[in-house]
Parts: sequence; C-alpha cells; structure tokens
Amino acid sequence: MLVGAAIAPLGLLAGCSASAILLPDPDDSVRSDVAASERNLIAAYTSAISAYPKLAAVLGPLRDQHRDHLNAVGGTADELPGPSNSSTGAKAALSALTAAELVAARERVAQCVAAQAKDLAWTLSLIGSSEAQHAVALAGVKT
Amino acid sequence: MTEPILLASEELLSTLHGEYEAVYAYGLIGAHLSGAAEERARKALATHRQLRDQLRTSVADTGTQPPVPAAAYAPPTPVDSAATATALAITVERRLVRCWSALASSSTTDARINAARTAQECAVRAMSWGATSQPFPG
Repeated sequence: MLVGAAIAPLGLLAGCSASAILLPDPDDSVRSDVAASERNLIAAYTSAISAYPKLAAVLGPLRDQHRDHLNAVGGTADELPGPSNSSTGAKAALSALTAAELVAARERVAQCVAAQAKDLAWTLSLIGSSEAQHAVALAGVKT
Repeated sequence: MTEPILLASEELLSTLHGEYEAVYAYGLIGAHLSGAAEERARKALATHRQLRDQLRTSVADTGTQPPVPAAAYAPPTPVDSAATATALAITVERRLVRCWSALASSSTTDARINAARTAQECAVRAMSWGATSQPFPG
C-alpha cells in the first residue's frame, strides 16, 4: 500500500497495465469486501420494503443505487434472501437503515485508503459519498 | 535554496480551483437567500474558506506556488432568485464531491482519509440544499 501511495502522485504508474503483472490483483479483497457490504445493504432494504410496503417508493430508489455500487465493484447481482426484518415499526426500520448507511460510508473511507488502483479509490470515495447522502435521505423520511 | 522536487498534482490543483469557485459561488448564493437558508450559506462559505486554505497549504507544501483565484467565476446558469441560488449550491457541492474523490484517489494515506471524508461532507451539504441522492454523486 505504501509503495503504491508513494508512487502514484508522481504519475509513474500511468500507462502501466495491470494485466501485464502476473500477480493476484491486490484490490480483489477490497472489491469483495465492498461487494459483501453492498449485498447486505441490498438485503436490508429488501426486507424493510417487504415488511413496510408503503416505504417502497422511498427505499426502492436507494436500493437501486446500492445495486449500482455492487456492479461498480464487479459484484454479481445474485442477492441473498435477506434477514427477516426484526425492527418494530417503520420508524425503527428506517433508523436501522440509517445506521447501516453511516457504517457503510465510514467503511468506504477505509476501503478507499486500502485500494491500490486509483480508479477504485475514486469509485469508493463516490460510493461512500452516496451512502452518506442515503443516511440524510432516510433521516428525512416521514412515517 | 533547493529546487522544489515535488509538484502539486493535477487533482490537488483542480480541487483548489473547485474550492475557489465554491467560495465565490457562496457569496453569490447568500445574497439571494434569507433566514435559515442564508445562515446555511454563510456556514458553507466559512467551511469552503477553510478547505481552500487547507488546500493552499497542501499546494505550498509540494513546493508549488499556490495559484490565485480568478476575479470572478461565471455560474453555469444565471443566479437571480432563491431557487437559482439553491440550484447553484447543489451544483457546486456535487462538483466538489468529484474533485475531492479524485484527490482521494491520488493522495497518500492521511490525505486520502481527509479527502474521502471531505467528499462525503460535500455530498451531505448538497442534500441540505435539497439535492437527491445519487449512486455516484457529481
């Protein structure tokens, strides 16, 4: 990580094709961590929507954005059935999703730091920004 | 004096220009708002001034003379009402999410944490102006 971080600002990696390096992609674990987190978020939205269908209009578009995040890190679209929603009421479900988004946004900062490839770091910063926006959007939902 | 061996990255310079633009824009924005919205613009202006100063220091630390701001920045659409002022605030914050994220991708660890967090703060500020969330803000 330190080597990549030290070299990148000098632009020496520009034009260096990752496919020319016959080593496992060091970013694979970052991508799979993000994909797992996004799948969990998608599942949490799915169970909240099934428990509280009237929230679908608000939650559906946010879940779609998590699907975009999942695609961006090369995650497959197969989704887990999702945990049964244990929240007691729509308000509690929204609070739980808000908390999950804030955790995700914080995780994206750490994953952005861990990423070696510039484009992945950039994408993870944008994804974290999106998730920070989701937390605000959820906090403003009237139940 | 030794020759500067480090140069400010393109991302650092374009984020500084983005913050110069934000400081200019919020002056304009605040002039068309009143009450709580004007206060929000004033707070955003103070935040962006701090970010601008922080970036000028970062540029200077590379041994590069920080560029000066333009005398004026033309908004993409005319600002003549509270609605157009608010729209400009959203545009400015969203653009800065892109700038700070690009800076995060080109920085070393500490600067990267700061840049990625700042990108999130700009994204949240866009929401405070009524923006809708985006999968990849900007």
